[in-house]
Amino acid sequence: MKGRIGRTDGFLAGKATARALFAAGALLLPAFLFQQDPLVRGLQFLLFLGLNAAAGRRIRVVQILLISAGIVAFNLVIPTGRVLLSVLGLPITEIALRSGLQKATAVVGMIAISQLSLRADLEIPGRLGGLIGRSLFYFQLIMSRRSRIDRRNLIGSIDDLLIGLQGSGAAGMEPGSRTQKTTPAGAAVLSALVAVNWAVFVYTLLRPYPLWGR
Amino acid sequence: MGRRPTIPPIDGGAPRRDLVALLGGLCLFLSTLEYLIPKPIPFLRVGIANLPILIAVDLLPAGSLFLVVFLKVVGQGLVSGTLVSYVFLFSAVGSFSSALAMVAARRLLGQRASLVGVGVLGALFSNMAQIVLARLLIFGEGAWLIAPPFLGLGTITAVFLGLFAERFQSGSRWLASLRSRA
Repeated sequence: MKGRIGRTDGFLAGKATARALFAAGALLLPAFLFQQDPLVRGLQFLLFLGLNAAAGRRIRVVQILLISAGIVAFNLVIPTGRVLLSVLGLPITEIALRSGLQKATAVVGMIAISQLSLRADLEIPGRLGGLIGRSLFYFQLIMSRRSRIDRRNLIGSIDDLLIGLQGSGAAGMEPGSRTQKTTPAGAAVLSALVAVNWAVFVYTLLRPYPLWGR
Repeated sequence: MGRRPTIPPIDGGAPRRDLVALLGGLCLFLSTLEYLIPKPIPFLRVGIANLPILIAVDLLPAGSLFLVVFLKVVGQGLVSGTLVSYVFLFSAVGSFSSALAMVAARRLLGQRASLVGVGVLGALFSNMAQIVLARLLIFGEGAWLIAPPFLGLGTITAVFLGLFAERFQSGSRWLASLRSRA
């Protein structure tokens, strides 16, 4: 049995299989994570964000800014390196700032890559994959019946829901439909995306910090 | 607090697998509710998605309980699209630490520990593991600054979740039917 995950939309829907997207995401990840220049990494993040937007995903700008600001602020608490400026008596130091930006872009960038590369029809092989699929099936059932949960009778209504659901998983699982093949256009876009990111990564290895000097 | 009913572990491969999947699905549903709560740090969670795991401590053997935790963590990663990110790592480390602490508490203390106590212990282990990970990966020494509110919030929500789980366990017809089948 294979498990299939929840969403049906996604980047390059109709042009690339879920496996091809997942493989591209896996190849993009090291080229992003091992990138040492915070500005290059920031540009990569904007690229992934743009692709997510192109795929129709809602971009939560405020959440991204809050997460990034929180991480940078916590890194600035311990001053390291030369003082760039002082804000309300708190010294903003270069190494602490760079470290904070690196970590902030890593966190939000990984989420962006992850969202880009995971699609509804990705099939997970094996018994565990089957269990995940069945669990997601139950999740979809609960979501479709969530209006039955009554805030005034929370325990009773959840109890009724669970009684109604128990055993539905085995009966309700349908074999996953095969996804289409990756088209030449889809393969070209994904290859270009991976190639550009790796080319930039290799370039910054040969000439470190092209945008933000040591 | 009165003596709570002891639920024998559910037997049988197929029904247990289905129950594990159902609890995993419930974790995912509660995760989506939790997702609606705004938070400054992606892995800072109230923990309502842990409710099925807390209930399952008395329902499933340790191996099956860890399978529920696995489903919750992987399912969250797949549905929210954070499977290949730090968020997944934090979620996995926190969830498995919590489950390990809860199983250990049940084994060592038996029914002398209420679900409130078991839940609070699980929350403390989960939050401590995440703070250590945050110290190593993201925040540096600044991570210790978030420790007091993080642990405090985790303890408060764990008390409420524990109380809810106690009430659910004592009043649930679904659990009663599972008990009668075991």
